[in-house]
Amino acid sequence: MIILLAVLVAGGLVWLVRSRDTRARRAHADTAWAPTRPFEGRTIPEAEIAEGRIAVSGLTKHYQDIKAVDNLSFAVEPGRVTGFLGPNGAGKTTTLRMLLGLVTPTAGTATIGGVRYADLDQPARRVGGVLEASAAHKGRTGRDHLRIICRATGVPLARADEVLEVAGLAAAGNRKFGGYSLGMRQRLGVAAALIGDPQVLVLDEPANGLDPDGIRWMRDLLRGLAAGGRTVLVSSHQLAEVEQLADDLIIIAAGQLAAQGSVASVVDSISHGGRTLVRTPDVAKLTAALDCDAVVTPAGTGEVYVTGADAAAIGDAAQRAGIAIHQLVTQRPDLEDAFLELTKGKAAIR
Amino acid sequence: MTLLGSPALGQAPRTGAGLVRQARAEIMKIRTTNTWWLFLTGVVVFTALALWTNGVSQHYVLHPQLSTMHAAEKAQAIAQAAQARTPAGVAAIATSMMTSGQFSGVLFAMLIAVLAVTNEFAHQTATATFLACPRRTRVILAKLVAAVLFAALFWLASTVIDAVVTPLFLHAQHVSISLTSWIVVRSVLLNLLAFVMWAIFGLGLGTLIPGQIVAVITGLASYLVGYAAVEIIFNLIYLVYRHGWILGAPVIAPAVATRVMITPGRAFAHAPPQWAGLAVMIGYAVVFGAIGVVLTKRRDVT
Repeated sequence: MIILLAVLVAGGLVWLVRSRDTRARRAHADTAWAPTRPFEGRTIPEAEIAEGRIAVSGLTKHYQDIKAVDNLSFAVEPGRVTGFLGPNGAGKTTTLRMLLGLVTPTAGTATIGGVRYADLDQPARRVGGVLEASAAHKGRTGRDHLRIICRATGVPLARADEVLEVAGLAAAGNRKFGGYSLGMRQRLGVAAALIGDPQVLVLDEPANGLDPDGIRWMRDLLRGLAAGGRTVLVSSHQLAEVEQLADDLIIIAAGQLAAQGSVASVVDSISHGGRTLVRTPDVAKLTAALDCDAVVTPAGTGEVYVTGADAAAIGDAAQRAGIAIHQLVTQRPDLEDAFLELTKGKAAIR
Repeated sequence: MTLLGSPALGQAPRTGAGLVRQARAEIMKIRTTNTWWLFLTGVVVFTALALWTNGVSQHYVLHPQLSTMHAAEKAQAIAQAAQARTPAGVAAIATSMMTSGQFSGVLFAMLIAVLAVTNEFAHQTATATFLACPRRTRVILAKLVAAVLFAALFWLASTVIDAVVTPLFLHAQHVSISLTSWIVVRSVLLNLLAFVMWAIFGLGLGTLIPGQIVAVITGLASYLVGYAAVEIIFNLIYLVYRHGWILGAPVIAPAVATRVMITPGRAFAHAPPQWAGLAVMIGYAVVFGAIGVVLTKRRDVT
């Protein structure tokens, strides 16, 4: 009886303290950020560049009868931001977790500078990982969360304050994690990854939940790190953001590699070379005026997409036929087109 | 200050050996949330409660209310009081008072150890932990160190209160015994052993069952219900097979094993010797811990 009472009393106390904290924190959770500092790079010696290369080879992970990752191979070079893309359930998170030794591969290897993460001498000093938005104890302050990682990594506790500053969280360091907004949680995750000043950064969906200011901060930070010679591998759903951020792309679908290369080469690799949007009051006449190679598809009232003829050819044909053209826009394929084509038919929930 | 030119990192690139570093990190984890001091408060409150109930009942043994009793009861009570006033009787009172709060304190020690492991999964901090230290066995060992230290802290808090109250109580009851006599000190040290063993048991349980609620309930059940359950089961078996050792066999339940371990001599009729209780507790810790470490090493952290 006494013990049951004890448990009840203890539970009640925990609940009281938690709920009070949460309310208090929520009240000022979203106060202004400390302004972020512009990044200052440095030149990384050659030896460190070799250490920063990520190599994934034949990586495979089976969950019961689902092949989450299927014989995946790619390489990530230092000094560049590499975007890691794929539809939901394509195996991005599983791949990154295998790279960081959190999930055991069924087959294949994932190494950093030729060594598995778990075999690195001081892994947190070499590689920084940002994997989950909510990966801290809700009742612990952000600063304490970082100080614990400092302890485990063997760096001085003062480093926690340095990375809080870098992440723009200095003002929120002494607040409990439970009161952090999603954006603040992402910043704390990045701060944690930077504790060991690593050569390699691996980030899973770091832009989730960030406001425009936060997205710009993240972009500047990652670009700055890559400019300083670091390896940055970042998975994302936000194609427009990746297009601005990344130098290289790795696209996977259904656990397999769909494309790899520089952003330009991936976008250019897809089959359709672009199309032209034409707005005209007389669609039928224009269609007749174009030569037979051109394919016209309706795009809306008085608008068509034309493929197989460039803007100049369309304009010339219209002039010859005496058709008015109100708008003539060349549309190059963008990353979204490339992504959708490369992952077509493989994006279904498995 | 820039991201890369870090005064802190430049100052001291590496401190301490791996396990020491991780153990300090694990202690910090417990220290930086509310749980530990809430539990410590619980230990203090329940030690005080236990001292009070214990003191009252000891008082009535030493000073029976004879006027309210029948003749038969009276004789029994007088005999009991006389027995309690012998040196052995006073020693028993002193040891009982000096280990007041054990019942609840041990429970808190077990729970903090269970939480040390299961919190990592409940709050998804396992990712951060295993990124900082991919050697998972080392993480478990570090948690063991931290849990044992906090169990010892709980024991210390409980014992300090006991050590303040017990002399006052004994003085007020007009009986005396030196609290530094071996018989008392031994009980206090065995009490520490009980706290520590249950922390280790809890840690093993937590690594074996990562689901926080399931692990806590299993721990509470093995501590509270386990005692009565095995006693009933083995008494039923004894009714069929009349072997004396069957009545001693309940020692396989952790709660019974603890009682056997901390009771000098025989804890109950047919009870196995003291070391058997300790062996059972160590057995649980080693088996749970070993299975837990293997599972933890294999487990995918997602």
